[in-house]
Amino acid sequence: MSIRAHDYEHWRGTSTSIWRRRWTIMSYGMRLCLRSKLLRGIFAIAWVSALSVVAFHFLIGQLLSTDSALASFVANTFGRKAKAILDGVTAWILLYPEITVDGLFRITLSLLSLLYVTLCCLAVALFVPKLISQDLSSRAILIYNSKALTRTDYLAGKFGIVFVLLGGIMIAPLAFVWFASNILSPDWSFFWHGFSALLRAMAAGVVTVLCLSVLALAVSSLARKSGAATALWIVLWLVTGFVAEAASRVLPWGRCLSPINCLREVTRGLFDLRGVMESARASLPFFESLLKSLPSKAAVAVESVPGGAWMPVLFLAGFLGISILAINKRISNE
Amino acid sequence: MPPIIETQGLSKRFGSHQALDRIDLRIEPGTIGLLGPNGAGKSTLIRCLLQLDENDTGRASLLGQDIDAHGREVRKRVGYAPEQDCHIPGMAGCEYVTYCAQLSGLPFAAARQRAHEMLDFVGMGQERYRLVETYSTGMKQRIKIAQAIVHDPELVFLDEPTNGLDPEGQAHILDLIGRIWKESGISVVLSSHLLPDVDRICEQIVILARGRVVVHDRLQELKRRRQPVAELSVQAGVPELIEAFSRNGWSSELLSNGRIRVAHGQESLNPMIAFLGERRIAPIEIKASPNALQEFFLQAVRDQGATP
Repeated sequence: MSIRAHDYEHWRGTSTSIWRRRWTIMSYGMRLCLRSKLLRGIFAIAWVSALSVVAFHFLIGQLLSTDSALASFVANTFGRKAKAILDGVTAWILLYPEITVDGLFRITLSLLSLLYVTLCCLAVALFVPKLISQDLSSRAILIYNSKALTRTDYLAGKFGIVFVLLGGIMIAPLAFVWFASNILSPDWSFFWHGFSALLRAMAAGVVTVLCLSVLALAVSSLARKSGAATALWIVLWLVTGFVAEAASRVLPWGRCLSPINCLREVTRGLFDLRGVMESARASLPFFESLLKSLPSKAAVAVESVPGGAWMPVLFLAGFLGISILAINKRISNE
Repeated sequence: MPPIIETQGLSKRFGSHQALDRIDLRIEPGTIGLLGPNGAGKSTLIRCLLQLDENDTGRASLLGQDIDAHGREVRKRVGYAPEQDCHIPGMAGCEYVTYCAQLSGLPFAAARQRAHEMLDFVGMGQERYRLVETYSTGMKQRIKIAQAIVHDPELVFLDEPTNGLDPEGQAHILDLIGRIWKESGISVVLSSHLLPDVDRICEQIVILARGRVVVHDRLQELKRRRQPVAELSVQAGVPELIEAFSRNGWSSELLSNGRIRVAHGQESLNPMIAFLGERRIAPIEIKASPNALQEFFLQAVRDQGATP
C-alpha cells in the first residue's frame, strides 16, 4: 500500500453556517434511525390512523349532507327512522356548528393524540440508543467536540432528530387530519368552527414531542450501551407507569410520578372533552340522557389529580428540569 | 513568526491530581513533539487547548485566537486525531471522513471530494468503502489522520498516532505525518512517549513532566546543548582503546551491547576519526549523539522526580 498516492491540496471555499452543521448532524441521525423497519412501521401506523380518521370525518360529512348519495343510501337501507335521526343530527349541526364540528374534531383528535403518545414512546424505545449512547460508547462524541461545534450545537442536532421523527409521528398526522378533513368537508365553515381543535391538537403535539425529545436525550445520555438505553427508556415509560398507577391509589397525585402519564393528562386537559360534553348536553336535549350516563372518562381523569391539569404540568416541568441537568452533566464530562 | 500555540498559566486539576501546572508556552509553526512519560499531562494539554476539557485557570490561544472567546472558530482551523479509537458506528470510511468535513463547515459536495483526496493522501484504497469498525489498527490511525486534516486546518494535534502499530505501520504513519508539514504547511503537534517517533520528524520539542513544561526548545538546539557523544564498535582491542581515549581526555565506557560510548566534546566526528586513524583502528560503526533526545528526556524527567 503506497502512502504517496496523492499530494496534499489546500481547500479554498466558503464555510457553511452553524445551522447547516447542525442540520448535518440531524439529517445523518434521521437517516440512521429510519434504517429501522420497525420505526418505519410505526410511521405507517400513525399515518394509516390519520387517514382512517380523515375517512371517518368524510363519511360523517357526507351523512350530514342531505343531497348526498350516502345519506340517500342510509335512508333507503335503514328506513324512515334512520332518515329521521340523520335529519335531526343535520339540524343540530346547522343550529350549533360551533359545538358539533369543534366537538367532533376534539374527540377524534384527542383519541388520536393518545394513540400517538404511545406510538411516540414505542418509537423512542427503538431509536433512543442511536442518539447519544452510541456516540458515548464509540467515543464519537470526542470527534464532534473537536470540530467547529459547541456542545449546544451537538445537542441541537440530536434534539432535531428526535423532534422531527416524533413530529412526523404525532404533529404532522394531527395537522393532516384537520386539513384533509376540512378540505373534504361539505361546508367551508368547518374550517372556522374546527380551528380551536387544531390549536389544541398542535399544542398537545408540540408539548408531547418536546417533552419526549428531552426525556429521550436524557435517557440516551445516561446509558453507554444500546441495550441499557432501551431498557432505561422502558423503565421510564412502562415501569414508572405501573408504579404511578399503583401510587395513585394511595396518593392523589400518584399518577404524576410517571412522565408519560403526565403527558397523557396534559393532552386530555388541552382537549377538554368534559367541556365538549357539557356544551353538547346543554344544547341538545335529544342526547342529554345518553350523555348523562356516559360522562367523559378523559375529563374525569384530569380532575382525578388535585390541581387539575396543572399538577401534571408541574411534575412534567420537574422531569424536564432533571433531564436537562442530566444531559448537561453527561455531555460536559465527555 | 506569530505563535500557533500560546498559553499563560494554564492549569487543570482532576481531584487531587494536578494534571497541568501553570503551563506557559509559546510555540512557533512547524512540527512539534510533545513528550512526556505516561500521565505527564500531554493529552490533557491538548484537550484543554481544544476545549474538550475546561482549564481551571490561565489563558490559551491557538493560531492567534483566544480559545475561550473564539472556541468554535478556532476549532474550524484546527484538526485533532485522538489517541483512542473513535468513530461513528455504521459509517464507511469515506462516509465518515465526509461527515467530519461537513461538521467542520465544508459543503457536502466539497466535503465528499475532499474526503476522497485525503483518503488518497493517507494511502487508503478500496477499504474506504468498508465500515470503519472493521478496520485494522493501522487503517484506523490513517482514517483518524484523514478526518483531522480533511477541512484543511492550519494546525493538527495527533495524540499517540503510532500506538499499537507494527514497525512498518509506524514508519508509514511517521512518513505521512512528516509530509503533512512539508507538503501542506500544516503545523503538527505530535504527542508521544515514543522518542524515536519524535526524533525522526519533529523540529521543536516540548517535554512535560508532572504537568509542567520542563523543556521547550528546537531539537537541533537540544542536541547541540548536550555534550557531544558518539558510540562506536570495534572488532578488537576495546580496553586499549578506552585507555587511549582516556589519555586523550575523552571519557568513555563499555556498553552492555559491546559498543564504546565516548564523550569526545567536539563539534564533529572528524577529530575522533582522525584519532582512530592514527592508531590504525577501523571501527565497524560510529554513531554521533545517539539517543540524545532520550538522554535529554530522561534527565529532564528525572530532574522533576517523575517516573519515565
